[in-house]
Amino acid sequence: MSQSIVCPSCRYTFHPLNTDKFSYFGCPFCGAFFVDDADEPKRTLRCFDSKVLELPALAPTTEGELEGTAYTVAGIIGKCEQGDQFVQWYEYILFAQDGSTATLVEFNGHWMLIKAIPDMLTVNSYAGGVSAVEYAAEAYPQYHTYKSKVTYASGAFDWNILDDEEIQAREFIQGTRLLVEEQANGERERWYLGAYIEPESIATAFGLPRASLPARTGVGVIQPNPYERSRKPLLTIAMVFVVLIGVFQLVLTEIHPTSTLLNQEFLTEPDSAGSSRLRPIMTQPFHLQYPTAVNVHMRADVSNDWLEVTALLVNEASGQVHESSKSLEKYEGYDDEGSWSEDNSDKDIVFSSIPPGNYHLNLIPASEGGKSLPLTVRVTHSNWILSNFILILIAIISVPAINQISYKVFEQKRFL
Amino acid sequence: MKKHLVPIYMIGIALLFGGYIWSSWNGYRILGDDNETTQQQRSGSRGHYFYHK
Repeated sequence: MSQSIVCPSCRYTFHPLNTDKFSYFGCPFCGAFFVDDADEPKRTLRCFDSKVLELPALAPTTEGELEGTAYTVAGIIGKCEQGDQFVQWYEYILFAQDGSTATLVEFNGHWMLIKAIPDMLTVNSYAGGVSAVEYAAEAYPQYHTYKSKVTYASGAFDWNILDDEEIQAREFIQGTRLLVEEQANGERERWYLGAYIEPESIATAFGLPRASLPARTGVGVIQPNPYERSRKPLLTIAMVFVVLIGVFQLVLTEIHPTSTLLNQEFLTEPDSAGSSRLRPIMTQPFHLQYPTAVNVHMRADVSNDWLEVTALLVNEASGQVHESSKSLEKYEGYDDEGSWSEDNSDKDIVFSSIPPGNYHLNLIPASEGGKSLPLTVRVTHSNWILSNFILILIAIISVPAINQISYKVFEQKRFL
Repeated sequence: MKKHLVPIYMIGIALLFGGYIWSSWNGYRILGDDNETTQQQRSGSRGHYFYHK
């Protein structure tokens, strides 16, 4: 339902919402804001710049349903902060069929639905100039205070929106809720409660494509943190699995304990004169009862020398060989800066997933000029593989950690 | 993706946990091992092998 109104400034005829409540109108064509009331003659109160950079996303008389209530957009007010014209927003005045009203506020693509509350709240001041309001058993710290300037008007209004410029507004926030206190000179304050609405919900409510709404910029002051919902579940799941891994590890250690299979010392012997090759060494046999990782720890007693050892883990039944080479070396000395040392005289070789069976090691050593050098070999087996454990821990922790970091980053952007 | 993060994470971690149990039970190192042998062949008595890299 709409009525015809003729703008006294440009004679443009438009059709705002038709109720008897409205006496003030904003011309969508020329930007004139005027009064048209039986008690006073029609006259223009102010002319706004109709060529605004970004037009309102919703037009007057647009109908939609928000939070189960059918609303019609009666009028649209563009505002900026007094003293800061770059802080601009639109207020969409919504009328429900039962006569109730609400205000939809859009700022930087973020939407809030604000409704008046009957409560008279008390602002408590604390040390350090901090103020807060108690509402519904929650504390709302003060976030902002300002006076606004009207920069745009379109549609119909049941009050002189220019009077809003006299209002001192204070905003208090708690999570995704906002409390607004408005107080004009000599008047009793009024309180409003606002809640964030996702742009997708606005598009759905008013039957608009999402792309027609302004793109979101930054983080809204009461915008729900999208990482909040998954924080606790992710952390709980991570803790459960860390505990499960701990329990499994204890059980595994009990069933498949780590043990030493071999601990032998050798003195390498020359193989042929003038060659770096040394005589191959065969260790004592050892037995693996179950699939496991075999660790061969080798240590050479060298000083400014090297010993290269090729280790072959030989399955005595199948002949399968697992082979790896390591260079054991240690160099030390003195220079202008004092003593120095590079010690790589002991190294580990890991053969993973070795099937059960009887094994021995063939060691093929080589040294400078075929020099005889002492070599200690210790073979252990373990199903407790540290790198696997670290990898699974990283995998478990990474997602909750990234989620937590994202949550913090989002919160830091909130008040930028 | 954010909406399904928790169930995806739970399924993913459960699968990884299963893989961890399997690898630990079999002594399998996920990052690989130091084995350099690509082909080997037994020949002769105990301890004598020809191996080819």
